[in-house]
Amino acid sequence: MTAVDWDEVKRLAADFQKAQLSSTLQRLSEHNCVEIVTKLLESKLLDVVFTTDGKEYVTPQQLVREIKDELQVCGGRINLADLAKLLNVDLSQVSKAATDIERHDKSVKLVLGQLVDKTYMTKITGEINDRLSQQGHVDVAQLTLHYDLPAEFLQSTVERELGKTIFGRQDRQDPRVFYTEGYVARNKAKTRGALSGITKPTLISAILGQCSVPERIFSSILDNLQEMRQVPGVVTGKQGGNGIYVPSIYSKSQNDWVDNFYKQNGYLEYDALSRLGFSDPQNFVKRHFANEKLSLLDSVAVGPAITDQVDANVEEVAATGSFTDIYPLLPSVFSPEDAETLLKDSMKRTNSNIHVFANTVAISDAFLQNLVLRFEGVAEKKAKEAVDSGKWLQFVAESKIKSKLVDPDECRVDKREERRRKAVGGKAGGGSQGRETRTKSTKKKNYRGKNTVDADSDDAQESQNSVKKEFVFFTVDDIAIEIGKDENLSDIEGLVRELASYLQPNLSKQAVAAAEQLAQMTKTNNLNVVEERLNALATSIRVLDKGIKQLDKGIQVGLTKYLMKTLGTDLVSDVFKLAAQQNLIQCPEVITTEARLKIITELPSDVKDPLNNLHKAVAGSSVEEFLIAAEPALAACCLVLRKFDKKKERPVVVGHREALLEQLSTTRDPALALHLTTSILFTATTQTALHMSGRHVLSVLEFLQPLIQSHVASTLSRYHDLVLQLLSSTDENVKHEAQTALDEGLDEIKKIAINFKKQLKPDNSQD
Amino acid sequence: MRQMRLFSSRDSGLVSELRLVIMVDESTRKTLSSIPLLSTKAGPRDKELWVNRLKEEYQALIKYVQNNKGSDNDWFRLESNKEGTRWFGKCWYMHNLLKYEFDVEFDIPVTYPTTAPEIALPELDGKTAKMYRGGKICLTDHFKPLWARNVPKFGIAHAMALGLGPWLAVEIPDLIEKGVISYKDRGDE
Repeated sequence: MTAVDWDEVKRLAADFQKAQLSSTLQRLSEHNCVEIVTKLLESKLLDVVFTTDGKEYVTPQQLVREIKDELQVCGGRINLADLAKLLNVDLSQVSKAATDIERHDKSVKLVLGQLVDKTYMTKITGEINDRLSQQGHVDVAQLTLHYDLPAEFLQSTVERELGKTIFGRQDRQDPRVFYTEGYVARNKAKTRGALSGITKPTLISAILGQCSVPERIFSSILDNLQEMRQVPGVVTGKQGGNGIYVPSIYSKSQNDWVDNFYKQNGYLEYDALSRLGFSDPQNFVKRHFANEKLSLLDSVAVGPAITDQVDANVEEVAATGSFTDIYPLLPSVFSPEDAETLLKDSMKRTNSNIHVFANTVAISDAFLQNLVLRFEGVAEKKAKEAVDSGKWLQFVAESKIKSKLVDPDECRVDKREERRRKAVGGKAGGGSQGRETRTKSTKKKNYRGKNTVDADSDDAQESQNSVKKEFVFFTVDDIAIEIGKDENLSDIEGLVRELASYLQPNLSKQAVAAAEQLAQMTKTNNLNVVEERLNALATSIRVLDKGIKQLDKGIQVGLTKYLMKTLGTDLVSDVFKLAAQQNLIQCPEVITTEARLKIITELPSDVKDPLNNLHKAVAGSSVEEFLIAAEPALAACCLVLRKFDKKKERPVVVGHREALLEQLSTTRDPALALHLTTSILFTATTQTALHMSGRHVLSVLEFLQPLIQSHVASTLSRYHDLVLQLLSSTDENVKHEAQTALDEGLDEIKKIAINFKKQLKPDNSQD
Repeated sequence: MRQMRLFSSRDSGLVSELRLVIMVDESTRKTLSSIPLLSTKAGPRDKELWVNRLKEEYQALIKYVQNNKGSDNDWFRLESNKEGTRWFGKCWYMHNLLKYEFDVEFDIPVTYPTTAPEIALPELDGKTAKMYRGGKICLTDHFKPLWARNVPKFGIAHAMALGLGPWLAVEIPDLIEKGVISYKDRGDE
């Protein structure tokens, strides 16, 4: 028992020793462990990877092994993110390990964050091949979508496996597409069939749609076929659906048609070409007939056959000085514009001097000149008419006024204003006012047209004015009617009118020139006449003034006033009329005092003052002053008031007396007869002329009383009384009596007048 | 230091094991509770009963050592003579990553288990005040009453755990600090 116990004790002692000697499990507390590992890591003695929860460490080797295992499990492809989750290791560590694996293991690839190994690649290449043989074609883009792998990777994979596990071929134009031979052959056959069958130009897209050949393969097939010369035609336009396939049979027939047509007709119509399907006929013609000299017109291309014909016609026209319409000579498809172009070209070529009218009519210069000649006479006639009738002057004056009306609106251009003044002042005597004005306006137009845009409205106004200013000698219609008389011309539609409008400005110009010339001539004549008349008037006034001075002072004033009112006013009126005309101011036929004032305000200043003085002087009572004022006034109108010529006095007086006598011999009016007789007697007695009104008769008689024989004086005074009675009486009987008495005495009075010399008292008679 | 606190506690009136256990810190409590308690009250002189007692001692020690190893706290080697009256071996203490090892020996007193064994570290004889002549460690006042209260439940394993262990923990760092003992490289350990 005891022995057993002791054995047991021994056993226990042994157990105890065993227990003591058994290796100690080196337990470290958790954070100690962490620290130790950190330390080790720091000192680079240990290389481990933390798990994401921080509870475990993994050595890189282990990680790599685990990754490989996972890759295997997942069928050869695994996402790194998934790996990180599965292995509970940080993604960065996983990707590091993954790149490590990729580097060391040729069969594993890291693609787009995924590990892919060889088995997987083999699998997908197999799949791709299946797909390819099923569908006939495979697109890398589709594969990308399907496998969610990058295109380049798939591309390179497929390219590498091409011919090994993937049986197909790559599209030459798009390396991303692969076909099976069968597929290509099928499509090629379809395409070839379609292209051979087509006889009309067809859109590629239509062909593709019809035979359901995919577009992308088409181009390579087409190239292939073209290489093999199996395409009977050409593809024009861009590669792709927009291109057009033109079968050679079609283009051949097209070209044949074009050639034939051209050969037959000598021209080509663009419309016809576009109907045949040429998109750009003009260029086509250029290309197709590169060697031919074709004129390309608007709607047709013309060959030498037709151009020669036209040339010949043009030359003939130029040579014969006639005209011709080439339109009937041309094929009917030619438009008039084409004909015109053709004519102009021909004109250039032949260097002939012709004009083209109504698009198609060639008229030689000679013919035109003939026409113009025919009108020249008419133009001159019309101009003469216009000038003679005064319309021309009126027109000139009106246009002047109009331009004046316009001027204030545009006086901003001082230069122009100045020019106008120059035109008015400097050339006051010239008859070319109208012309000057018009030239100015055209100049202005050019000048302003060049510079200013804002003046457009003004321009329009101006041109309107100038249109208005144009004096119409010929209307287009007039000329047209005249030309239309020629049947050859009038046959051609539109020609007459066009010719007329072509000739009209020319003729008008001629007419205007003629009118201006005429007007100038008449004006200078007028001026001379006016000058003469004014001088005569002035002389008369002087002479008559002398006569007045013979009389008593009392009567003198009245007589002078009368003189001024009659002859003086005449003179002034003439001067004003002239001035108005020269300065292109409208003036009434009868110039009243108001009219004068109005004219004065409108006159330019250099003319204004002398005329104003004259205007004032005529209202005064001094003949001397009046004459002095008249001199500068006339000068302002470019006239000269001649010095009073004593020699002329006598003829004036005699003339005056003769005139009086003549008047007397014809009159039956007792009052006038008395008046005239008195005047004659006065002339006879004083050897001066007297201009008086009836009112002055009495006073003049009184003045004559002592100078004439007494019986004559008494006869005259009696007669005068009778006249007074006749004029002043209200009683019809008295009037009648006086009238009879006067009629009876009339002859006596006349006799007195006729024998005026005898009536004078011999002692008083003057030399 | 925790053990120090335990032994220097003024609360000397601990009456129950439970109370004691509560008083010591968590790890010590755990250590103690995991050592099987003994039941045979017998000394070396009690012939047959001593064998029983010895068996229990061994079982407790085995358990204690296993526990220590399990918690990475192996700190001694013990063996005894055939009769189990004399024990000797080694104990060690880790300080600053250095292992300080000492020989340990003690006899089972005749009056055992009433009297606790007097554990001695002969190497340290005369080096510290907390030691009797012959290298017997000077156990605290608390140990003896604690032991007395727990006769016969406490055995050698308990004496080691409650006596030598705390003593080492307190004294060795102090001695090392004083330079009384120095590290001896014993590669074989």
